[in-house]
Amino acid sequence: MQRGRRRAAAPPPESGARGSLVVVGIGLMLGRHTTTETLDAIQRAEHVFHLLTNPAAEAWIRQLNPRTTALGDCFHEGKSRSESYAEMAERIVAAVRAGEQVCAAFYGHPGVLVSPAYQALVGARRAGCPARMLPGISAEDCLFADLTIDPRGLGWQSFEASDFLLRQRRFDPTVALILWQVGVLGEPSVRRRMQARADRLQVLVETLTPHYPRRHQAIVYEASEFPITDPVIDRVLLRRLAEQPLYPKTTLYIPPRPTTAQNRRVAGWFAP
Amino acid sequence: MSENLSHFLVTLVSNPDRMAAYLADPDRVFEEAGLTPEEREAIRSRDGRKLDEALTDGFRLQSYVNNDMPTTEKAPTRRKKSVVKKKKPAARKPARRKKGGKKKGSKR
Repeated sequence: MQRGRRRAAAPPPESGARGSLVVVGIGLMLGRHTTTETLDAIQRAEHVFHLLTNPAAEAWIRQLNPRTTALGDCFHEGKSRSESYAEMAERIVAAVRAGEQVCAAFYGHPGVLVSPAYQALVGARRAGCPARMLPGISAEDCLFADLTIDPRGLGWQSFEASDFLLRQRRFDPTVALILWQVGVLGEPSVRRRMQARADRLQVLVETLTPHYPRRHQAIVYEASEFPITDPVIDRVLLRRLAEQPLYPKTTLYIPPRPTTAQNRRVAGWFAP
Repeated sequence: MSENLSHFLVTLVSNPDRMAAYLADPDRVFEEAGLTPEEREAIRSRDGRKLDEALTDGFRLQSYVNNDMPTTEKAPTRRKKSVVKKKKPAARKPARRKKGGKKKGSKR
């Protein structure tokens, strides 16, 4: 009888106990952007996997739940990032399949440009385990706040920078343009002290500048990660962008070109 | 990697009293935490990049990017089916109606 109860309390791997997965985002700023829903998911989990931006964030999450595993060791210089992300997702799904109640924590919003989060969700669901995602504060949310932009008024377009160039995405220069991951433009792997390569940035400059006035400015933006640091908000001439050091966490914001074009018929609806 | 600096930052965000003490007198809180002059300077600068550098000694592989690079594979092209062209049936000419003739079934 006693033995039977023990077995139920601690199921061996692949014993048939149903694991689960919650994928969460802790936001950008250490300890300040995490929703109560996410805090609860981290604290309740039997196993927390995490991919965070700095050692302080890792120490903070260990304080919430000591049963943690960092995923950062999946990165290696020269190793394809795709391979690293697949490996991370495999580790997470393996724990879910083994019957653990797993939480996978990423910085920012886990559903915005986080490949391993999606892969793990799909993998867990394919294994027949419940899996869901909780929202988090993304770099774009911070950008709207720090630059005081109202996207409702201007509208905006948001692209991953490498994909923007590769797929020759069509965009409207009279609408705000946000390019994510511009600091790793065309980079298939990672390296220490990484910065965007000037020659690749120049390709981006040559793609964008024909659509904007000569003196058009772009904003190089980085959200603040600590309550005692400031966000990076550097205004640069768009045509001089390639001379600027851009880091992996940099987001590029290009304000809209002015326009007076309007649909007369629709404008008539608003005429007094 | 500076574990002491990590611990200092986690304490600041987790303990409102420590944050209040830091804002009131940073030097005293630095002293109590035993931070090095470089770490103190990184915090005073309010520069996130400098603080990152102090936290990781610059030797941490970045993980600011968690998205796959775009795939360069071409989308699979559909195999063309061998299509036997059918002859279009000749369009029927509409029956000519007599001018002023009464339409079949029409009521006047």
